[in-house]
Amino acid sequence: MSARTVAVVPPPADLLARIRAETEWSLAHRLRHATQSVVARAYPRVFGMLREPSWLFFDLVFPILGMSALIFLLRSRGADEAWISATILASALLTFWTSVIWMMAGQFRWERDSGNLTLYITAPVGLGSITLGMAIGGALGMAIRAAVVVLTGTLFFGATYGVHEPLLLALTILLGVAAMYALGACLAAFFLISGRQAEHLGDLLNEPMQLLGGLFAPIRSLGIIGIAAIGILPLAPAADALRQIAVPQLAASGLLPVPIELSILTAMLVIFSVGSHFALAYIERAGRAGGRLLTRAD
Amino acid sequence: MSTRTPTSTTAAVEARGVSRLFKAKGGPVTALHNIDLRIEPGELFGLLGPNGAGKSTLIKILSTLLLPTTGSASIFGLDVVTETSRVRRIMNLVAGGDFSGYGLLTVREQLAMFAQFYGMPYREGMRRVDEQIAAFGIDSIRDRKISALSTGQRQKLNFARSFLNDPWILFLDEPTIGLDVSAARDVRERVRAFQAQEPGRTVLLTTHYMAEADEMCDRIAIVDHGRILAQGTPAELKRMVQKESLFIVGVDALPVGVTAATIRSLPGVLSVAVRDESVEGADASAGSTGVGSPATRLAIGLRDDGALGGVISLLAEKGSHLREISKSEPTLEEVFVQLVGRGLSESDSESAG
Repeated sequence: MSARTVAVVPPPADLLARIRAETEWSLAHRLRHATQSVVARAYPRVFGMLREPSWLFFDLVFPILGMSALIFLLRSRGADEAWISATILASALLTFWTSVIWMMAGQFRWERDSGNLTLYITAPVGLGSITLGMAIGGALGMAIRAAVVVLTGTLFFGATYGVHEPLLLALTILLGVAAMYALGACLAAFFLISGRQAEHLGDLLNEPMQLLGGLFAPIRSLGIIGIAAIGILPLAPAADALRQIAVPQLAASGLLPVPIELSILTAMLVIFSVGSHFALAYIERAGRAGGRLLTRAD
Repeated sequence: MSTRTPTSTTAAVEARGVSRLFKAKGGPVTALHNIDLRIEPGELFGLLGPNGAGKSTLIKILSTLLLPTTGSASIFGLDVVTETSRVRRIMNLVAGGDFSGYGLLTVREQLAMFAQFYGMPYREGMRRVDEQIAAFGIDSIRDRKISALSTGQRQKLNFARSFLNDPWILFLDEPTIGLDVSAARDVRERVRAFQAQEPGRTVLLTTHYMAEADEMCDRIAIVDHGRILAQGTPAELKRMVQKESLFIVGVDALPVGVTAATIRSLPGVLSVAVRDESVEGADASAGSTGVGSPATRLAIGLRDDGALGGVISLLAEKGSHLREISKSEPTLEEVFVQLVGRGLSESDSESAG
């Protein structure tokens, strides 16, 4: 083994001044960096996932199968055709919700175990930018799947809609999806802290929340539980408002007027966004203090 | 081996009384005890020790992943606890056996993603990505998915990522673990070239491999049970355990009348061992005792190097032809055993058990 042969050149006299200058980022630099980081983290979610045909297959086929089963059941019981349309819309919302549970809430645990979280923490990028990128990338990726679910359901089952206010519909979808992903960002921190219980938490947020969210039945039929759900679970006001806007025959089944439900979604978006900011700051602080939250077990 | 004198009052890395306790079921476990460490700008500094010695804990503290329980640490004068964001702008980290990244991304996409995270403008980031792909010789796999890479290719990718932001301080935590000899050599050469490009770039390396530490590091700290047992250049550490200067002297034959006892009687000679290569090396005679090769090797222990002159003079006067002279140094493994009281592999077995 040969000894080190690199000629050692003394560092320049202004080394520390140069290093100091490199660490001082202007506000414009920080804003550009945050924006680029969001886009960079969204990229694998949008483009990377399109490269795995099996994922595309399962992400599309399973929701469509579940939706079809419900629609066949509704038809066999002679339900109003309006509920067929509502079920298709609910199935589209469900693709977003499933992604919120497994690709937002459960994501940091996966990132930690794969070593990515260590790299994120030691990079000059905030966890907020990473999480926002995850959310935007996830929502864009799921939007394609949701569109395919709606298109397939509509064509296959001959569903009809009566959208008189397309902008209101777009706003409802936007606010609903944004509030769901903001909740997902909060849950990402919570799942990371919860350790091995995270799998059970994921299950808890799946079918029970579909019931509480009034996805496939009018939420007003749940009584006081439905009222509570509409105040804490973004699925509930989003599904309820979507039904009222896109399926006019079911407007009377709505729990609250659409403007109020949109206000609730806006409030949820703000509260969950602020909450996720503090939750992410907490996991970094707690992780650095405790030593095990941010790095995988060796 | 290079020697350095401090050129700056501010160290690249400075740890002052750093301790770290972890909570455990049986009570708190102390991973680091009151560590004091100073690494000058431009140094390649090695932390050598068995599993559980505290090397990775120290790297985690310095790389802002972990808070010290007591004490303070700084990187180029920036406090790792209170100036975390600024420290992260000038550092990078590579851990051995790291399988980070997204399997569905290609090599180029993965690097591009991290270039954005490191704060480079998009075009500059992409230029740096292509530079690193070329520098690491991974151009042929630039469009291959991460999930399809071999361990060696992944580690090259990790290194390429870590060089993207031209860090002033690079933390390498067991960087060559799991790599084959050729890939490990490539990585070491890249680290040297990286440092040579810009004076002041500093590397802190943890390793299990004594030879790697000996070859690469300007200075080494031997760590065990959370304490630094010794630090210095590899040569300084070896001198700590060397009781005598040991020389191997090869001659065509010992002169008549000259024995080991004769040589031992010379001033400054402490020990002599004679090895007849023409007999012992019979099986490999072509390789070891051919034309110009010594037939007899003497292992001579001296009080100091100056005593060698008397030995050489005696052999020459009596008609021996000198074939080789080499100084035998203790290995870092011997240094480690002397300081720690056991070998590195034994220590790892204990840790694993």
